[in-house]
Amino acid sequence: MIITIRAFAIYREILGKDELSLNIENNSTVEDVLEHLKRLYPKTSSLINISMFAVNQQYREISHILIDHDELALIPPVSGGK
Amino acid sequence: MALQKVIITHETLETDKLVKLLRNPTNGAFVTFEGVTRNNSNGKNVKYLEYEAYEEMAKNTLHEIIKEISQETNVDQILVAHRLGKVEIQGISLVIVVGSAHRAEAFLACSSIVDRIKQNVPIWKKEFFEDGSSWVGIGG
Repeated sequence: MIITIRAFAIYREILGKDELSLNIENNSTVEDVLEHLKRLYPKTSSLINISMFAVNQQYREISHILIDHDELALIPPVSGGK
Repeated sequence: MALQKVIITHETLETDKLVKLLRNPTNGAFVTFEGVTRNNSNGKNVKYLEYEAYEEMAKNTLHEIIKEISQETNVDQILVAHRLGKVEIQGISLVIVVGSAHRAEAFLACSSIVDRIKQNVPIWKKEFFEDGSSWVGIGG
């Protein structure tokens, strides 16, 4: 099945693009995709631990199971400010 | 008349115009908040900022925040506008306008919204210095 990864801010800079289509096995979880991403882009490894992930615009746990045509967004820490 | 509005834009934010969108004869109070760009961060000189968003999700998340705060405070006129792209020093990056019959709930609603926006809206800020740049919240 095909999913789309949306990359923002520092992820966009590491990937060199803001979108990426991946062909993954059925019943893959968010975590499976993240492991794949770490192999493709080793610089994402340390960031993934401090990020949140959204599937079709809803924040999800990494155990969430993806389905065909899902959009997985990589959400680094938001800007904050005091 | 309830009015809940979210604006995410690359254009300059003009607070006066935004306040006018909430003009209503039942209002006795308007509270306006402007977030502006500081010229320093952790002792370093900031030249300018750049904002980036996951626009569709940021819009939805902001609408959810407004709805929650509106219910909590009984204020039904709230506008949130966020700037994207390059913002110069003292440029406005965030405008919140709250209109209500009385001032107490308007102040409360406004400050609650700012706090909530800082937590979980997918909008990122990059600071540009004389000698480089850094995404806020990551330190990278």
